[in-house]
Amino acid sequence: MRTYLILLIAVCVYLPFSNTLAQTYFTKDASISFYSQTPLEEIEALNEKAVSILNFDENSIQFSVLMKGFHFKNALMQTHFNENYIESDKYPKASFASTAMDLTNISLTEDGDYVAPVSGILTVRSKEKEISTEAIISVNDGKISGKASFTVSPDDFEIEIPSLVKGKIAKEIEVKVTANYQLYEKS
Amino acid sequence: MAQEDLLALLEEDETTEVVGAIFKTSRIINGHSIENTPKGILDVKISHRFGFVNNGLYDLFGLDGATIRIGGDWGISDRISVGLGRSSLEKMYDVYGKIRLLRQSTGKKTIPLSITYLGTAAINTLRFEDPEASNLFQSRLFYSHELLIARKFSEGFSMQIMPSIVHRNLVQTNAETHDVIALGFGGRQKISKRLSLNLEYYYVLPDQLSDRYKNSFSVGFDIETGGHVFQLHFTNSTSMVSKGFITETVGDWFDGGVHFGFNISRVFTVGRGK
Repeated sequence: MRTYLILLIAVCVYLPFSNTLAQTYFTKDASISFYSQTPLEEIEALNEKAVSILNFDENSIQFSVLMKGFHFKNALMQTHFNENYIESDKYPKASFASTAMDLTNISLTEDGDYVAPVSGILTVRSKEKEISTEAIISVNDGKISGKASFTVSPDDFEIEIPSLVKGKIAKEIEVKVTANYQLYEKS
Repeated sequence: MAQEDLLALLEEDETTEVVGAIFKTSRIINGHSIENTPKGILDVKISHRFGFVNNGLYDLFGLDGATIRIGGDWGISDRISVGLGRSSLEKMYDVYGKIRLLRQSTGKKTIPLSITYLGTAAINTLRFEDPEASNLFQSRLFYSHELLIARKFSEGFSMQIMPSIVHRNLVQTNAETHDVIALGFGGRQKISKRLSLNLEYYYVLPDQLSDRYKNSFSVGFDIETGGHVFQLHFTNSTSMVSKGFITETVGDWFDGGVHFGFNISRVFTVGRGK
């Protein structure tokens, strides 16, 4: 009985703190877009169903996205993207996990835009690429959102481009990420 | 809770994912595949069937002669596409409409098959053999209805069956039926990302056609290069229109009665797309 009581007290005391301490934010509809431009062709795709977790306790951020969820203006580009370049049946997901991120200067109670340097591993087609960029984390009325951009190259992920279409796919592809987070509450 | 578990938990929400790219292009060889021309895309197809290979060296194995079809396929919406073509054989004009009824999907909502309806009409515009006779315009019309039922079994392997009916307003002899029922089979196996092997066979149910007509059998490759798809094949059918290859195939594979042929597909983005 005494142990239960102690446990109960411990839980009661700890709970309010744990809620304020466990600063884990998540979203299921982060958007990721990429853009490739060459004189011959402009390619743009958008995915608004990326999953992300932003953890203030661990100073970390993670993303996961289904490759088939990228939508192109041109339906054939989308088919080629999945079939020939990404091979989405074989490699359905891309992910990003931070290895180092600094969220310490962000005050969740004070509105504003905070710069958060982040570096981590981007995995596409099971090939890993180290990415370093600066994310902007915005706090607005208790709502957390983030955005970042970086560039990648098809070579980074061993994506073969046949010589016939070499001029149509850029060597530097710009990736943009935006996410509106909500607090993750343990159920 | 570990971070990875949380990520996995969030991903659990399954979405329905439509299975695409069952075939590389909208034709298997002569017949239609389950693929529609995407919305806002104009797909210009130029197809050749050279002469019969058993014509021998004198004709350079058929390369001296060719029948052609030039056509365009146009995607009106994601579900509906239409097409128009002109064949040199019988100076034939053909039109078709293709409507997606069901799409194979995985995930939250699993549908095992894709089903598309294909309706075609064709008109022979050769001059009437005897202009003095009472020739009827209707006698030159042909129709076909096909149900394309396809399934992508794996990333590289897809199959399709095509219950088909061809209606001829005028038949050559009384022994032939106006409506010809056939069952088509098609399949593709990817060899590499941009190359696939295709087979197509139309079995005509017995006692409908004269003995000189054979079932259409074709084998070929799809080669894809960005905006083009090249289809190279051997087929015993001369016509590239449903009523022709289903009911009027005369070539005999066992006798070298096959054509070498190709379809070239070039796509243009015309509308704004999505």
